[in-house]
Amino acid sequence: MPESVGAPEAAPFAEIAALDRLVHEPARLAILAALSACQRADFVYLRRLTGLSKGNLASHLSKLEAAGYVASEKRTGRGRTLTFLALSGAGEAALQAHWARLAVLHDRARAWAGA
Amino acid sequence: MSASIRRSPAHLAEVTRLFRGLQGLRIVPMAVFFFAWGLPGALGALGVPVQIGDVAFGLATLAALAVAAFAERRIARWYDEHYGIVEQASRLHGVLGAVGYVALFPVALLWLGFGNPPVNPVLVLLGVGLLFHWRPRAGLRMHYAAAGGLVLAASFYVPASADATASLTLLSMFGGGGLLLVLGVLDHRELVRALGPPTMDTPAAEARVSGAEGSIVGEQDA
Repeated sequence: MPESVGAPEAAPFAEIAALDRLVHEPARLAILAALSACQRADFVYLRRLTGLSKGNLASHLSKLEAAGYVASEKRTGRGRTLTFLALSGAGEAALQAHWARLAVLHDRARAWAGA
Repeated sequence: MSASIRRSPAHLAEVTRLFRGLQGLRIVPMAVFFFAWGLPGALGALGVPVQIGDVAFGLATLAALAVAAFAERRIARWYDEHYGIVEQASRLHGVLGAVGYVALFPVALLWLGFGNPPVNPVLVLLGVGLLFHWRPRAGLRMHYAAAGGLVLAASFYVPASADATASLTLLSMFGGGGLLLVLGVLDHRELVRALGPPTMDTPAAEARVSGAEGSIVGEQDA
């Protein structure tokens, strides 16, 4: 098969492979999207918003924190300890890059489907 | 996959952005205060004479304000415990916008008093302010569109003259209080729809941060 025929069709799949899976996973994308809309939010809010179990949410947050995408802060008050999460600069950049990549992918997939 | 994650990230971001505004029960005490404050005016408009001394009315107003403020703090704490906490960066342009909006009311009242406007400018301002809270792209706070439209429609019918302002002040407090009450309940309903019915995490069940690097260690489900 000539290369000129295969290259445009392969392009969307190459973009899919290039997606940041750490960000693309639905639960983590939901967390990052929520944190991008505020300065910081606590663990309880993120759990309520995502509907994840405590263990699942903590696991996703650990991965995001290990990648440097979120920063956590512990505060005590009213007789309990609250964990606040905030999107880091790297997290914001990764999220924006992900949206941009999805937009490109969307455009290419439409062009590919229409070809 | 949980129900919330099936919603778009843009919707989740908008809910987060509006989280404080969706805590509708917080405005209920103030709505009840306005409602009660305007009650004598509403009864007077219906022809029922209400005799309240100025001192008694002033003291009752101050006491009711204090109770409303206390109740608002209690309800805010209830939201914190049941739905969590979201902190927003202080946005100067938002504060300036709100101050500018409030500053337009004296201008509207002056116009009402001296300009003989074709519509009631105070209600036009209120209606536009309510429409501003509508988030059509995220499908949120549709009730503000209805309320804004209602108030804008009312601006054509409520008398726009200097004579009407005094008698309308208390009556509009009554109507405004009722409207705030309805909007607050609908906001809360939208919050429950987005985040689920209220439940409270026990302190021990929350995620804890441990280790020198501050990594999150999740607890297993109870």
